Amino acid sequence: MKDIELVNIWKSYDQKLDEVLSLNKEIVFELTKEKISKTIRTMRRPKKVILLIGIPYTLFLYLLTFIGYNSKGIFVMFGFGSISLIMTAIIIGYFYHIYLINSISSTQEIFDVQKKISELKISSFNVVRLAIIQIPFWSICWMSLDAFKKSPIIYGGVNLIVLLVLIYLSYWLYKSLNPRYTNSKVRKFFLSGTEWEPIKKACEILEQLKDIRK
Amino acid sequence: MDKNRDIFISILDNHKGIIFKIVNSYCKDVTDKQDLIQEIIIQLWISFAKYNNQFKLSTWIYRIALNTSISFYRRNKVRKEKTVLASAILETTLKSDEPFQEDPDLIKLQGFIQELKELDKALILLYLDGLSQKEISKIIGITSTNVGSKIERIKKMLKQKFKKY
Repeated sequence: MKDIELVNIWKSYDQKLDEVLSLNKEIVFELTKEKISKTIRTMRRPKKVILLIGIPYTLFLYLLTFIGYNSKGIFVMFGFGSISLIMTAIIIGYFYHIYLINSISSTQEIFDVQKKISELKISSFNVVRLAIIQIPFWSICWMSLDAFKKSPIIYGGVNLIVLLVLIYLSYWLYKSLNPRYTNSKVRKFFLSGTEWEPIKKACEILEQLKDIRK
Repeated sequence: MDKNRDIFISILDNHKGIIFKIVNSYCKDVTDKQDLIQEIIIQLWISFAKYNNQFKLSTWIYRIALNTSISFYRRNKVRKEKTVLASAILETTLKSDEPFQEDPDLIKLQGFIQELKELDKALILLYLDGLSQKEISKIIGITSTNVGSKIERIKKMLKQKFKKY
């Protein structure tokens, strides 16, 4: 055996190493994609549970609106009617989330997965905001036109204060959810739990995938 | 800091072959390989700030990676001897090693190199990677003549082993 033969055997090492590394990269990439869809799929159950509770609850709100309409309870009708509409939008949002979750698969291109996760994130965020918007309407539901007529100053004043407080609370919560306030405790509170952690985790994994593809 | 980190990562990416070859020569089992890779990267990162650009990047990486591997090898020698069986099983189940299976001569050469003493391993790795005697002597810290004679002896030994097996 000549020296050059030894060196040539060793030279083939670099080529094999490149093959192994690109193979490893591909395996890691595919496994990571699978991990993303698995992580996202864990959100399916809590979303379904919320729909199971949310649909009868919304129907019940519509029933209250209908009762308010029949009994000419203008505040009841307006209050529950508004909450019912908001809840309907939230329910539609949850159906859309489940559709997005089901459509995320490890066989898709990473760009498509990333797009769907972004849509899921934005839609989940909008659903939280919608839920916050309904807060002031809860004070309207219980108002009575007769009571306003009888005691416009005390009854009217108290209800106005409650309504203004709830409007402010709703505005403050809405504002605190703004993505600019990343350290906001309100934001951390609302954007956590079983409905948010998988999205956060999936986004982190997506970032790692970008590094792998570099 | 971020800029430094990006430069460091790109250096690692461009020279990963050196690290893998050294690690594969000094470690048999997968866990040890992963540990050693991590240790080499940490050592490289620590000395990155002190990197003297008079030396070639590859020379700097060889020096640190070899020093780290030699001390890692010495530290783990006893433990490794006790876990040879487990590591052998792990290695054969690694599918990503498949490209190597197609080249029996390369597998033999890797095996023979693994059997060498730690300093001899370093010398032959550097020689086979095409470094000059002068560069090798700088990295290892022995005279150029000494490098030449040692490499001749190791080559002879490897050729004999190829004949035998």
